[in-house]
Amino acid sequence: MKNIIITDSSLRDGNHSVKHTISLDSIEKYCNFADQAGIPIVEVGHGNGLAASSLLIGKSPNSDKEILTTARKSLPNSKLGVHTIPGLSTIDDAKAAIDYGVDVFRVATHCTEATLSKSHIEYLAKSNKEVLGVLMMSALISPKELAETGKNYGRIWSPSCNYYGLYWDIFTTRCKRTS
Amino acid sequence: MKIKVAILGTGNIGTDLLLKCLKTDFIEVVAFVGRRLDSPNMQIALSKNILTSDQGINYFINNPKCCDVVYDCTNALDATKHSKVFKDQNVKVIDLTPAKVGDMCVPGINDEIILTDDNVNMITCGGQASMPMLHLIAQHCLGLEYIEVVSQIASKSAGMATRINVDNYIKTTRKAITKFTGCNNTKVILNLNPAEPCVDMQTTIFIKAKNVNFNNLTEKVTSRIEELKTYIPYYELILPPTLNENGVLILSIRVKGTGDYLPEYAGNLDIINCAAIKITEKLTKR
Repeated sequence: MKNIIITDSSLRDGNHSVKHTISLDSIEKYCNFADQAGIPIVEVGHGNGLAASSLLIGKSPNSDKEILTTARKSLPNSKLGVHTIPGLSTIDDAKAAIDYGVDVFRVATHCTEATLSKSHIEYLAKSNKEVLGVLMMSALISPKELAETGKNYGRIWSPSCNYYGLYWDIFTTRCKRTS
Repeated sequence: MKIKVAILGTGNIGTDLLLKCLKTDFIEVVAFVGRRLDSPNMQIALSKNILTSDQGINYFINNPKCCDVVYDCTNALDATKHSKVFKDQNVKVIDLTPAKVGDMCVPGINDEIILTDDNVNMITCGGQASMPMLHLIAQHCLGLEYIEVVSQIASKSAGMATRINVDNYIKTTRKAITKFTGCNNTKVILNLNPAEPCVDMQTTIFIKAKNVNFNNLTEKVTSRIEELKTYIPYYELILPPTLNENGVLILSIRVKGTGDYLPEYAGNLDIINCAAIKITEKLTKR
């Protein structure tokens, strides 16, 4: 195992456990420490990512803009990452995030629905942003199906999208907590 | 006299629409036009003795005036290009993509625009499911602050065009909410659910307003649903308008289809296709 890249998604995924209310102060403090510790990518935002603040999932008291610009200021060295789920967010939200200084986009879909991310991934790759495809709830399909989907990311969606992530999803985590 | 229609786009929407048109006594389908003659959906059309073509928009360029109405069931990007061809030919378009070329139309709210406009947009499936309720409830709200519409559809009912157009789905549905309620602060979510057995189409509406007048609201919603059922028989209110603990008005709708093309779970095909047929009927009464 060479070239392990750590994406610290504590501030984003962890936001679920406090109903998406992590304060801007906490984001600032945490990002300062993470940057000093040399974490390569720090991911922030609503638990379900860009533009996910909603009555369905949970309203965040802070806007994406406030969260991202706060983190950006406190990450002079680390890359700033976001999670984004097409269907919740649009490319317009991604454009705004680029303006707020986001470097890395993790475009996520349910593991069987990767086709939903095609337009988002293509746009971000063309904008020369680092793009990672994330297949959520990956335990629900076989390793073989998962590998096929992962290969398609690179082959069909965009030659610039070289990675795919396998990810035990936020939704499963949430279900376990509430039950 | 029957209205002569052609269907452009042979995916889930186009094929379901074809089968629904054949069930009416006022529509004659003159052509079913796509890009591949050997596709299974083309075979369905052939088996019904419908003229098929794999020439796409070129079929209409070569056969101008072959119909009174074109149903554009392709995708937002192509439908925008097609609209120019049909405008030049003076052929009416009922657009079932979220291209937003023409004015947005919901039966029972503004059907009459089909009589005057050359391009009428059917918004989206979530738009057609939610707009009749939103338009009605907005009249019972003072100081509308926020509207959120969340639709869940079965993965199997979402073809490639829907998937590539997911941003257009969101933007067009949001625009429709603003048009039909006056509320500018909106959020639209589309969730493709891959669960097996497939889930029915379901749309949940959240409304924040300074004041909601509940007087006769449930009765009005019930009677509006009876109207809707005349063209979309399995439109069902599963949660009547209810205020939650945070003062948010919530209601939920389930739409099952009649299973013409995909099985009953794909109510998202039915809601938009039945709406398109409903406004086409208006043209027979000119």
